[in-house]
Amino acid sequence: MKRKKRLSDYWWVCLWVPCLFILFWQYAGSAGAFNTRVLPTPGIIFDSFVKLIQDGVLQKHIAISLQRVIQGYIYGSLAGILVGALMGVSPLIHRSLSFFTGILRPIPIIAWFPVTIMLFGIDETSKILIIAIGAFWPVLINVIDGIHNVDKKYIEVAEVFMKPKHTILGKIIFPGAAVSIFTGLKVGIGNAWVSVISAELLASSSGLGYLISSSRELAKPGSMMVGVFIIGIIGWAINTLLEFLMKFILPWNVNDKR
Amino acid sequence: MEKENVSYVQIHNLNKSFAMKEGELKVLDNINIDIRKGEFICILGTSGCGKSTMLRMLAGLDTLYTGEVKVDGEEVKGPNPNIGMIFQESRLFPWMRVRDNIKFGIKKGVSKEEQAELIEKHIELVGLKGFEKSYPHQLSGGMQQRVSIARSLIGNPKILLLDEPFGALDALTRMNMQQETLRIWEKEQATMILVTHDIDEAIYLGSRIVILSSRPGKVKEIIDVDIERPRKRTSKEFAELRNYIYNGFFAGMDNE
Repeated sequence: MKRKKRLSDYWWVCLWVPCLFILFWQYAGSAGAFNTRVLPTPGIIFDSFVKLIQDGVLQKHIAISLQRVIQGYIYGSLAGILVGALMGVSPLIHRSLSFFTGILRPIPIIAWFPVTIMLFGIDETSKILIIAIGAFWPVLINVIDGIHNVDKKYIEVAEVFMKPKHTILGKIIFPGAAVSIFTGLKVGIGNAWVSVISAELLASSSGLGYLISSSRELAKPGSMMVGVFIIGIIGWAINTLLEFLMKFILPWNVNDKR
Repeated sequence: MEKENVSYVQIHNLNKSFAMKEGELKVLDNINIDIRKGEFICILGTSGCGKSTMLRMLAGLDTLYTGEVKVDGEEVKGPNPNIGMIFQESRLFPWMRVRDNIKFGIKKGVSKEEQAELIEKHIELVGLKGFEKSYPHQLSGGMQQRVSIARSLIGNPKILLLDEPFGALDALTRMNMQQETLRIWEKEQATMILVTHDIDEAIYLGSRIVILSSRPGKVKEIIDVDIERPRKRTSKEFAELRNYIYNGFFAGMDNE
């Protein structure tokens, strides 16, 4: 039976809050409620955006930041999946590494930055390492959790059918952990994105983080705000893409439909 | 397959206890059952009588007991390719389509073509043609349990253990599934051992009914069901046997 569509069923409902927010902001700025040379209005920001695009500056910074994120994310998430799988499957490896990882994990990514600069200088290596570390932890934790939480009843079924270890791993444990692994990958890409911006803010001559910090130094608040919002928009786009991928790769997963 | 008189499954002097904080809890007390090849045995008892535990021992999933559990003359020490098991919940893998779930039950060493043939045959056997590509969550509870049965049968087990397989289904679906199970039993000639707390189910299906008491589980009586098949749930003999079992073993429990 078809349910009558409610207002909450339409996707465009998500637009009214941002629209209202922008209108109010523009109105308050035009009315002189704040100094637009410090906090620009949406109109000024949009002008800066158009100019940055026309000059090709924005595209360049976005491309560089994205390239760093993708590289670091691939290293970090692969390492997370690998180590997580080993720790999830082998109690001995889990015991051996749990204390070590337990101490390293709470260290904020930013704290590693001076360390990597000392080791590798202010070049790509240190940034990519920071991004990889940022992506690594959530992937690791979720892979381990996912493997540990696979329902023992499924493993029992495989035992009744006398399936070999590798079949149990490949057909039951990893698919059973897939949803959790995906969650880790999603949190991981978020972390990687945060890491790249942090690294670029601190020490870089390119990328979106650099765009923000250099615009501040050059007293160009419009470009600065463009950088800030582009970060948000790209982060949202990545997340949406991953959710779409998850529906595509794990079509059987119906537990978290919204 | 000809009927043999020698017992195929032997359970002799079987005792099982669980270690508890307060000491040992006896769940099975000196169980003796002999099952012939091709029989449909129903083990009837209330919950907590250890009937599922006994089934897990036959499946080789629980090997901590004293006494003898033998299948075809050999002690059960672990899972055995000749023994299939169906659980109360279908336990289908949610990430596999119906076809792949059923395929999971195929033993190794079967060629690709044979596999396809077997799958085809078993999907038909449980009446699920057209649902090969569905995921378990798209099926009803009864259909899921059919897939589970197909997954077990495809490995061609000599013995099928069923642990309250229809307990979670509604009454009509349950009757339907019981009929299906009988049909499959007659067709496949496997030995079936089904655990249940449903008196009607036991009478409808069983060649013999083993009645277990509760805490600890003890064999109270083994009844030969002489009612001719196909059995009618509304027949006089059916009612008589139901009354006999109910009055003899389960009456009084209502008021407890």
